[in-house]
Amino acid sequence: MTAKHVVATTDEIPPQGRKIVDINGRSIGVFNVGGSYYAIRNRCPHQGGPLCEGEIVGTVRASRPGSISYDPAAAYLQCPWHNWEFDLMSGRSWFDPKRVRARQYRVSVEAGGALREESAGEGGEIPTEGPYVVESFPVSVEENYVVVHVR
Amino acid sequence: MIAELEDAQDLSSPRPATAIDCDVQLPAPTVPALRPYLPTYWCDYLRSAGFTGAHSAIRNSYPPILQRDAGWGGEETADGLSRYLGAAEASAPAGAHPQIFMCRVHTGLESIRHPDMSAALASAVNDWLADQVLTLDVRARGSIVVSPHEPELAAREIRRLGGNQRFAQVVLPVRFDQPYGERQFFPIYGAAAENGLVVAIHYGGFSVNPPTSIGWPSHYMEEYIGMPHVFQTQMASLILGGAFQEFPKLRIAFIDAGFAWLPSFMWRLDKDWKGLWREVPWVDRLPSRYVREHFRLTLSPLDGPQDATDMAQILEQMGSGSLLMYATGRPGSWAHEEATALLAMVPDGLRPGVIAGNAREFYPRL
Repeated sequence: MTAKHVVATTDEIPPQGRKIVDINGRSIGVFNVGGSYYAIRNRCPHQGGPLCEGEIVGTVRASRPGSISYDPAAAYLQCPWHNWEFDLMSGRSWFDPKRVRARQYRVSVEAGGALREESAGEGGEIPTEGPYVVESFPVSVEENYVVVHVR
Repeated sequence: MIAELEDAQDLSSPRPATAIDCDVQLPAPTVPALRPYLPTYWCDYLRSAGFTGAHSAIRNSYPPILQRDAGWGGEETADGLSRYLGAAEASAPAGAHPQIFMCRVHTGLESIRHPDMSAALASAVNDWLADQVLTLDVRARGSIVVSPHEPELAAREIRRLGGNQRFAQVVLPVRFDQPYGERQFFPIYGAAAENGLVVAIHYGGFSVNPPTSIGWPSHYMEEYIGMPHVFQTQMASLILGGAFQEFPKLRIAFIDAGFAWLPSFMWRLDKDWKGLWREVPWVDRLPSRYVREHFRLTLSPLDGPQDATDMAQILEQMGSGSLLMYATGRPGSWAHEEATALLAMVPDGLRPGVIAGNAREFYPRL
């Protein structure tokens, strides 16, 4: 069973943006790619580098030398230590997608009101004033939130 | 001992070769011997200029017997040339009847920068080889010499001779002015690949560049033991420059490169490709895969450990039992003993491939 961790309002992570958060002692990077959110462990499977601090680059293909076709839409995250590349949307490495990947977490976007009702249903206290804090993150009924699901 | 044309085996017969010598080295003929194959202009010009041959001399040589073949003007009679083939035959692995000799002429043509002179001399040497050497023995195959200074002229020469099935490869020296993966050389690879000719890159060569990447060494030994670094540079350049994406049928033979350096070089290529591939996006798979599919290396010089177990480990680390090819290299009185010693170090299971199978599978024309 995973637990929901509210990490940001949707406004906080616009397209091409990212936010690195700490959840249960794990550093996790949350990315917005074309309006959808993805979460990847901020730890490169190679030697443990800060993967989520790396550059984001597009998709390149070249059928022959000098013939380069490039789609700049954000697609790959490059680890700052040795430049290994990982698909932002799946966590799979570019060079060996079957065997080498970064840990990925499910992300959902949820309305503040629904989040508050969920927490209330589990017996939590809801203050009558001010924002309601879910896992140390302030939640307001007027906003939408990015939620990372972590075991 | 040498098969005459009349007694020659039918080349179309499916009987497989039992030994293929991938490198029999011949000295270039004298300029007078080349006259029948040169345009009149060059005959007269070379005579008036006192030209006696390209700078192919290796004054410090290892082993010393190599000096005998250092200049232009070797044995040009049929008997003399037969001596080379006979010596190579005598050095064939015990019990294996030599079926193919890959003949290569030492020319040093890359030391001539006049594009038309080098092209004329290359054509003359190639025609001399086809006419005077390949006719001596049906088992002989030829190497097309070209000047890497003029890739378009080289491509033209390759296409001119492409129809002669007795030529099996094109030769280039490993040392040159630029790495061979540069696109300027692509015409050579295109012509070779479309004609089913392997491109063989051999030890040495004459270049404006020193034999080491740090400069001119003081001792010949530094040049000699350093040649694998030059081969590595060429291997990396060909792979990363995308020659095998451009020409999927291109095949490269390394002659006298040694091979014990290959496993760690492939590890390094693969390791660094994972982070650096984006600069060369046409290299869309592990570089070591290109090595195993597109390169072969001659067994000689056997530069591995003396211990058979360690040698087997290196061969295993190469990741393919098919990469090595038998070659005598320098026919001489000691070639037989050396050939036997080299093959003794190869594990039993790999030996048939080294003796003939790998070359037969790799060379489209064998």
